[in-house]
Amino acid sequence: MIKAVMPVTLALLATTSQAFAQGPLHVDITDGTASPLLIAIPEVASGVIPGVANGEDAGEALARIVRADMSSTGLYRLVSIDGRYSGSEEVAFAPFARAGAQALVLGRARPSGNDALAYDCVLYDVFGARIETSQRILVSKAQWRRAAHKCADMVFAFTTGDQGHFDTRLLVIGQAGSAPGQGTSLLSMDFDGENRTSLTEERELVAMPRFGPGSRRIIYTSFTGPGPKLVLDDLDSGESRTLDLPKGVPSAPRFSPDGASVIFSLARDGEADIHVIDLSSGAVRQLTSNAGADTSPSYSPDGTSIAFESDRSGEPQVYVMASDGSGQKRISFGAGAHGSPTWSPRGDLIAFTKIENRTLRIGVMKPDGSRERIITEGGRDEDPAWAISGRAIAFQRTAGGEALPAVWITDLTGKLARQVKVGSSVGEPAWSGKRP
Amino acid sequence: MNASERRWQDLHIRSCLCASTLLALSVLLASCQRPVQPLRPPPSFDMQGPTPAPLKVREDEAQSRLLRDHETPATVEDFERYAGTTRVLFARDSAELDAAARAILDRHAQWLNLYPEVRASLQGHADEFGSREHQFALGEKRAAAMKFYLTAQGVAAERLVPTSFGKEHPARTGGDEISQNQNRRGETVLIGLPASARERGE
Repeated sequence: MIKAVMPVTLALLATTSQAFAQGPLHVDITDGTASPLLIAIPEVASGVIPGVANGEDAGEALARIVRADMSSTGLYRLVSIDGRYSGSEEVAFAPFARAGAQALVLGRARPSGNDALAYDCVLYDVFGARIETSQRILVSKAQWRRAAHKCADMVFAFTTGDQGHFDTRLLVIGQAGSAPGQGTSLLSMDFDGENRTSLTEERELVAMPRFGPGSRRIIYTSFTGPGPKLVLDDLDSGESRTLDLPKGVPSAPRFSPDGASVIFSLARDGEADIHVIDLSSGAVRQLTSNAGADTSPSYSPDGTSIAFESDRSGEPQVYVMASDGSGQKRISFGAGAHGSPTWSPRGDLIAFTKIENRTLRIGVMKPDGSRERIITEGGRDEDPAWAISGRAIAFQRTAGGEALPAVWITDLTGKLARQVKVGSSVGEPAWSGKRP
Repeated sequence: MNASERRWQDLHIRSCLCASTLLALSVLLASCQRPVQPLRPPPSFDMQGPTPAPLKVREDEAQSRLLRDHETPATVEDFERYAGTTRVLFARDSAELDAAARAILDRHAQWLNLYPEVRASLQGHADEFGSREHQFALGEKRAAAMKFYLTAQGVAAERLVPTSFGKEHPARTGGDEISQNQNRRGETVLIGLPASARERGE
């Protein structure tokens, strides 16, 4: 795989990328609400590049992807100017300034050798008439869409100070039957639904997939054989391994932030408790031993705390404990039940599924349980999965009257919830970290 | 009393003796005090569910049960015919076996006690009104309750494999209460049989 490299030859691309969010091009975000940055992303024609963009003008196709990525976050408002923009021209800032744009993103695409695509992505401060940051992105032609996602990641990171979540993968459960569970497969795809690949045979019932740190190791629950098992796949080597666990029914696996262990719930004789397995030694440690069902564990990004769901109070609620199982404390006290807690990669919020009046919706709260906010409005929204940026959440939505679910992505205000277009039913999303 | 009835009585006594070692005293007393009623038709219990449809026990089938002998092979079909249904239902967010569920499991136990070489997967399922992970734990709790009851009826614990599908494999997909009622279920699925291809998910 060809990695993105910093510019070495073009004087234009003198790098300033080390400075994160110092200048005026900074998006301030509170509770997911921001005053959007006005940004222009003109389509810079490159001509057709064989093997890229299915025969469309590559530069224009890439710019459209960058636009879609940026506007999906709710943190930017697209500004356009009349007329076409040619990549060979000197940058004239005046028309963009007149149109109100604060930021300008220009991407110039050209072939690099036979198999690669070079995409020079530059972020300008329109009023200062200067380059804020730039990157020369090299990808194989087959992965041409990644060039646009990497460009969007660069702009997002500079203007928010957080990692971008565009050059990432989703792991979802595909549903091939007319009802859930009839023909499931594990699918992997870009965060915008493109480049889908199937990782398991259809008809093998699989559930609750999760990425390890990065995007190359995954774990999921498989129902082949007499009881469910936890399967860990290495997507690079193709190696698949079933975790050797104590007797019981395991579920809800999730990697620790360092990837060295997997935390999960193990049910036995009607009691479910949180356990953790060290992946190198295979040692299993039990972290909770309460009566009732303790499940859905999720580490804080620093690995010191674990959020989980327990019905020890009578109905499911979210608890937090130290990573050794000590100091178990209930944090959710809003109306209804709370489940599927998931700790944001930024550490500032825990997403959850709220169960109230037989509806399921997605919400977020602070790790101490305060400032609970419900952000989705479907009747059956569940399985929240954070983007690595901590600025978006993927979830499963089953629309009213539908048997099969779809995967949606929302910003933290809930105003920009949109379906990931796949063309078939998918659910139970997991969202990868940064791709190599 | 014909031969078949005597055989049932023997079985009944044996299961009581067996169960007495398991301290399931209330269950035991209830079942021992009950007059021996061999081979009643299965309890009628409206499942409202399409898979498996409630089995109508016709007169000739009931009759054929009375006439079954040792040579009747242990098949999934025979189990289903005998038990009437492989499925028990639960109340919302509960793993308690009500009278109807216990009556069905009594018949599962009777059949399993006839064929000691057969093993069974006890599969707990849950409705949509809970988080995926919690419903998974709830499914296991339901399967564990079935196992506890069946062992109290004399089925060896090693023959029973409790497992859960949570809400991954609903019987009905409508969001309404009648549909979801069908998803709060436990199923006894025979395993280790040559003819056990009719496990879930076929």
